Amino acid sequence: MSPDKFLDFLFAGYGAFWTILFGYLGMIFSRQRRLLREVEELRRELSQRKG
Amino acid sequence: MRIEPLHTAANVAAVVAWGAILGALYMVFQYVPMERTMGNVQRIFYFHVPSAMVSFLAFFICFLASVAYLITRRRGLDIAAAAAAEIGVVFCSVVLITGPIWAKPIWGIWWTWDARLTTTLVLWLIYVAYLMLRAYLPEGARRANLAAVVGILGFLDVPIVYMSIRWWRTQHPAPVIMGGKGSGLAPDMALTFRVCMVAILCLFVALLLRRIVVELLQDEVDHLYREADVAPPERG
Repeated sequence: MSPDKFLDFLFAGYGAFWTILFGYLGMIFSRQRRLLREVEELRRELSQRKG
Repeated sequence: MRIEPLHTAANVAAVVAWGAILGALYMVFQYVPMERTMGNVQRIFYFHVPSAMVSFLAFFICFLASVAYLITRRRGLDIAAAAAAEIGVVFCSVVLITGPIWAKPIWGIWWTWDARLTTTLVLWLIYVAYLMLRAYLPEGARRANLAAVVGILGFLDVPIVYMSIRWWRTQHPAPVIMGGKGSGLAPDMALTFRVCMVAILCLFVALLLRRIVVELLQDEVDHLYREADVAPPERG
């Protein structure tokens, strides 16, 4: 196999690492954003009921 | 458990982790010389091995938190176990994907049912099952107890994965890190490996803290739904 082909595999390896990492970060942050929104809405609803 | 200090700690850890990763990338692609026999593809090693080590650490934290949960029944320990297991699966996925990408040009095959590869795949499947169990059981003490038992039993595979290349000599190379006499890395490679190890470790800490913050937020949302006497929406 040519050294150029080896480079393809090197970039595929690091590409896989970044894809998994950013995919996971995207999952975490989208869930965090949704939860923060829910917390805000529920707090507002509770304070409206009390007020 | 208060969310704000953990949220700040997660942000600080993330900044440190990104700095460390940039340093590690510089070391991998600019500083360290090309390995003589494998060429450039060997540079996968610097993220592949630390990812494997960090996945072991994550499963160990899951194991410790699960044991502590069964003793104390503290919700915080259940959260820590779940967060560590999830991040362990992420890093184990990195190992299982980068390994075959490295193997193909060097061994000529993507995969073989070698002792190290097979036990690592089994480890990944065990913790995927752990996450599925948590996802499909309703929240409560029963789910936490069952998850803790799986988290403890699942960890039994980690020493087997670690020792597999010492007990059985198959396709996977013998250990170069902590492999005893005749093993080891050239000084430049050892330094690069250490930097990468620190970077991946920082990334793990940042992800763990962030994941715990998210789980605490979920608890707060559940609490607010109960307080408001509103049924929470179905989550897919």
